[in-house]
Amino acid sequence: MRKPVVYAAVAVCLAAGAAVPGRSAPVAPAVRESVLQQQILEAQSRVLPALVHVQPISEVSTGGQTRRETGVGSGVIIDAAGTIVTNYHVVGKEATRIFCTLASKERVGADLIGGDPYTDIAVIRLKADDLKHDAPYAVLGRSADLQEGEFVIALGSPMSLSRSITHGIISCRDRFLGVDGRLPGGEQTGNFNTWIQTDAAINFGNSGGPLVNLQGEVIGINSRRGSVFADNLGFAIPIDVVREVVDQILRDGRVVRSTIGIDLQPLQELEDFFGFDAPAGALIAGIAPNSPAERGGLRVGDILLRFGGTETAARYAEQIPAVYKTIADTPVGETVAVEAYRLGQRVSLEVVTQELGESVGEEFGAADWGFTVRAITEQDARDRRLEDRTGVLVSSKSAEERSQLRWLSPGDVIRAINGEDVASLERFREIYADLSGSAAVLLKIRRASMTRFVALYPETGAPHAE
Amino acid sequence: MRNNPPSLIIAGLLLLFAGPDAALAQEISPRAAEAIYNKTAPALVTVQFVARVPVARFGSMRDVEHKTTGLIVRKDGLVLVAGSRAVDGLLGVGDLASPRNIAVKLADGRLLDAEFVGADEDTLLSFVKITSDPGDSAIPWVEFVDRPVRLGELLVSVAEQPDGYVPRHKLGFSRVAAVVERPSRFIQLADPMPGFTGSPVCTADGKVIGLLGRDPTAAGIGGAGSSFAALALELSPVAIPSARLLPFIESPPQTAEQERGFLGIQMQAFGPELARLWGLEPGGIVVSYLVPGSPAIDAGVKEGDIITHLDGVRVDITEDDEIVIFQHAVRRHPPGATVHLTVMRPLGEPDPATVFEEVAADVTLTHTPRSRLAAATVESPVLGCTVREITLGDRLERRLPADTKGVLVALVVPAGPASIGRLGAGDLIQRADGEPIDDLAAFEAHLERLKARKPAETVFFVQRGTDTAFVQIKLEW
Repeated sequence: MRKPVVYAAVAVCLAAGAAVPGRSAPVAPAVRESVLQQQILEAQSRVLPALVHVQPISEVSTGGQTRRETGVGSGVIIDAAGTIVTNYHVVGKEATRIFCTLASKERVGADLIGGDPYTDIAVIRLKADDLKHDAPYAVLGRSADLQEGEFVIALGSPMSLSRSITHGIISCRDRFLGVDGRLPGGEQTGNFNTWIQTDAAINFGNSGGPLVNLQGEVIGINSRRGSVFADNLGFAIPIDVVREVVDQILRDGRVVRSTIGIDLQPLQELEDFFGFDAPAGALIAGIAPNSPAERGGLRVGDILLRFGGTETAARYAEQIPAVYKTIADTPVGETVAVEAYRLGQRVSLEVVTQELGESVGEEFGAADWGFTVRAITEQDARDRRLEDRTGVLVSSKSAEERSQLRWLSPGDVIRAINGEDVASLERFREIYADLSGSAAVLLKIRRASMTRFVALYPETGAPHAE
Repeated sequence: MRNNPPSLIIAGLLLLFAGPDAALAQEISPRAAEAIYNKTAPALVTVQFVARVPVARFGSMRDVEHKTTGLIVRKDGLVLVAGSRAVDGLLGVGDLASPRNIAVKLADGRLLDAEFVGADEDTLLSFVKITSDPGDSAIPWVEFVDRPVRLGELLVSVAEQPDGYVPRHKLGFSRVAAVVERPSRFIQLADPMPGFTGSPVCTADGKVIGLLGRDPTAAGIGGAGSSFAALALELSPVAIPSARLLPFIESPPQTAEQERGFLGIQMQAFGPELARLWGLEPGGIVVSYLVPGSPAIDAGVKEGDIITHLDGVRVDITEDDEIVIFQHAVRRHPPGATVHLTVMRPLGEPDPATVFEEVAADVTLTHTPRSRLAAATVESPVLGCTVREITLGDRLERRLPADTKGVLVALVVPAGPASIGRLGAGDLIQRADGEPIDDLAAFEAHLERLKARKPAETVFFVQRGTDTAFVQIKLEW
């Protein structure tokens, strides 16, 4: 694809040279540079100064102990105040200190403003005291009209090699990666967007960095790469998605979304089966128990036609995130008119949206007892088939095998401690504080259908057979 | 020997000073080794069977013959088989379906028919029984003897040689490195013996005191019932002592599980930490869950009760690994039999200061529901899959409501129509073409309808993990 451009460029350059009267034309060095080369140089010059190498320090609780972890990623400054867009999975919710190295090699601290695991976007801001001048920033482009084959460059810190630029093309503008993705911390992700796929090299450390078009505009945030056995498969979150999410984070610290509790499946192969041949419609393959959808009368097998004022269509998997987004963007608690196709007829129903909670709850490390627990979310209850969210989930335990902790497993739900009910993480914290210094603790836990008991002796450790 | 007082005195003194340790073998003479070989090797047999295996890429099934080592453990021809893939084959689970033509080949060349008796899901020990008349000579067998071993004691094992070797067996030697009590009971051996998994382990005087297996606690597999789970693997040599095998040999698990008495509870071992908390003797079974319909409910047993005695015998279970021993003690009773439980019942919500009262509970055992090993199956060549009924084990494992209906996909033939349609093993089929599929009969009826109408596709509605989905299967006629 490049050759015709090169020949044309050479022809243009030569022509320009020949047009100067009286000069025979030694080939000037500029002639060797193609248009593409110049474009890349210019695009890079507009974004590289805004590129940031991000090093967050997080405090993570495992097995009751709090550990500090350093991370590595990239980010891009989007305004003069030093607001930076990066990936949620780079800074997470536990980043307590964030160090940024600018393209100028200055080291500046940053604060976490907020994040959204569902789209894997986070916003941080350079500390005004550390930043002694206006921050250079990049311009955000648009992603709606991207085409496969467009040239792009990716900037970031692959393998911690900061200020690296790679280039390639857009391999796919709306890649669907499934709606059940999880971030490294276990948070659900990928429900509401598709990705830009590129063959510009994206490696570990590129996360959070910008994907840039030849106009020097940021058109995506690099977030994922193909597995270790794949080459040249990089994925970026489209900038239109990023922009919306960043605006909400700057306004509210997070993104508020609605849910009605449905799972969709592409309608493609099943139209004959459902006797439905319009290009619209989203097939409901699952309804969560006690959900707004269930209460509103929707049923599995219904084909969703309209949600509020918006037509919903998900013939192909790539269209599913857009339908979830339509639902998510509806205000929480709103009564929405829903139209569906059921057994040959149109039905009209009403559904009241509820807030989509976080998928991974807050953690607390019970250091004296040797394990970490976390609050139970709707997602947890669903994944583990719990009747409700009562109790706390054991997320990790101290690695001493064959000790008293052998009776406890990650995934167990703690329901009572020394006879006191544990309804929530809050209550767990209270009881833990009250029992500080206790010689013996009795946990009542639920594992699947079973009720089990675990006796802990925080000071002395487990007795072994005498 | 002539009456020679000095030599008698010397002999006496030697005996006096050598003491009882003189009986502990440090060496095994060739004669003793040969005696062990002659007594034990004949009981090692080859168990062979034919199983149906999916042919990758061709979407069909074919019959393949499998062979594995077994050990005859009872005079009446009960054969113990260890080794997970072979066990899978005999059980007809995973990708080895419908085992048949089971035969036992003895070391002397006799080929005897056998039938599958059963397997224990938790320990993966399986049993076949010789059914044909052995002829003039009796069936050789080894008797497992519950005898403690001592540190440093030299043990001998006998294993089969590869095909074509004559003679057919070899010996292995290893010393007792440790007699482990906790977290479960097994004998750790100092010298590795590769190729000896599933072999009998004898003392120098020929008593069979265990079966060679793998360290049950290695590889981080925790949880109840997993201690035997990989007898077939050989990471570090351990011998499973007779005490743990004898209950199975005495009453092997039957595939027809309904003949076993059923208590209907899920259990936790009453370990030393809990016992210390409450000032009780460790050892017992904590009732973790009463299965819906459990006869224990009628007898007044409650969640949280600690079973301390079964028919007056102390329940000495202190680790979850040992729960199988209690299960077997219960299963020895037939359905309809009454077991007398002595139970410590907590008064009030359990806390460190809980007081217990002793309660008696007489439970009339019911029939054991079918296990997934014995679940009825339906094979469909048209779809390229095999389905089976939902068992109690499935309901407990997947936390399905008691009234859940449907059939479980047990096997999907690679590249078959079901596989292309992305039906997966483990999917719970609940509807087919809009009609409910409550059980295997309903599924079979659906297959009949398909054969009659020959449609281009069939659509299942399945539960997959915690999600539900429609699965479209295109059919070829």
